[in-house]
Amino acid sequence: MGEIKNTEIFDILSSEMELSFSMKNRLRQICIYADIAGIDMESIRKELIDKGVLPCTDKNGSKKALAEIYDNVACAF
Amino acid sequence: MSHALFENIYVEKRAASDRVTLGILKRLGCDEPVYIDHYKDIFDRKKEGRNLILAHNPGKRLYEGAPVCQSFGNEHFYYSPGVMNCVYDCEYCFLKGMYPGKDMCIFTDLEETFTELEDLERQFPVYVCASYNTDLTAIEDITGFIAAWCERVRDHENLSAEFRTKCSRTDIYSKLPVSDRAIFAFTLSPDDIALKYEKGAPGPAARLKAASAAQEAGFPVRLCIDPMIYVRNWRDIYGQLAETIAGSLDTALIKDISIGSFRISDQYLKNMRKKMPDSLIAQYPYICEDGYYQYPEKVRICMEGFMKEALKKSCGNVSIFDWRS
Repeated sequence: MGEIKNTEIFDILSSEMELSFSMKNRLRQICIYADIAGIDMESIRKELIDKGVLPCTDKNGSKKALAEIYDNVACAF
Repeated sequence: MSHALFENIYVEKRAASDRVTLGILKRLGCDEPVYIDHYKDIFDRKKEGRNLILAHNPGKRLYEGAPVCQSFGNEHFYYSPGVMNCVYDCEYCFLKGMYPGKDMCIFTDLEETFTELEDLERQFPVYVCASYNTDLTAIEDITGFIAAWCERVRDHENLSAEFRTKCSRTDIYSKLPVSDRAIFAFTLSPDDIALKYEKGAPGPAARLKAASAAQEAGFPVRLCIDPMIYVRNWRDIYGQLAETIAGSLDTALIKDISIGSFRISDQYLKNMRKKMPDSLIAQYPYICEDGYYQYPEKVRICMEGFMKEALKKSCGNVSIFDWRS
């Protein structure tokens, strides 16, 4: 498991979703990569809040939110 | 005894009197290597420097190609781990996940590989990636293995071999036995990628000059834009690469071009992430499909499709393979 340098955004996003163990690992890896790639996670989070995707309290909503975060980061370029 | 490329040179006792071993030691000017019982005593240690080990291969000498390797339409596709590890230090290379350190091990019993091949050649045409776990061309002055393979291929009609390389040497090709079944495959990346992620390897322009020298000598030349790396300006730099190729080589003489976005087995990626916590390539959140990590489909299709189109536009009718072919 890698280390996140800036843990703040990971902690905030984790608290705004219902994540299983593997989903949490996925989010952690996304945050690690975003940090290295210089992708602004905070603006992605704000966009998802504006769209009503975040925060979410159930598993299905969290899956959808995680998928959107993934798309924004992994397909950013 | 040290050498410019290696901190120390070790020789397995059982390989000590081999003709190949003695030849390599002579070429390296090494009179007093350190004798060891087994290559793994040195090779399996995690350390920063690079040692050279000369040994006998105790395991398989030929492996069937992995599903993520390109077979180029060859039904009986093998690779030979005749040398383990590479003088170049490419951040994306699967060898980083495969081997614990930078030590290089040369198996001096190449003749045994050829003997095993003979059995296969009697049954069907065999295609071997001879430079799979290393860059054989880059160490040809030390091993002479490329010359041995080329001679073998020339004399054995049922044998074809591919030598994948990033080496910029232009002087070796005219000295090698020529055959249209000995394929030199040059891995190419855009300048930006080469500069950032291919430490110690010659730049793409120098590789293209070497490819041109191989063509002039009469060898089939393959270009490998593989792995493609997903970076912020990937369209610009890979588009530019296609134009550079067209401007540097006689495209009518290119045997084929292979393209493929980065992909790697799950265990190798885990090892790479541990070794390189700040690597943009290792830390990308890949999708795992059938035990192999790769870019999500959207990225994969977009990058490989773009490259295919860019090559068609700049290089005309050259055959293009992708790793799923």
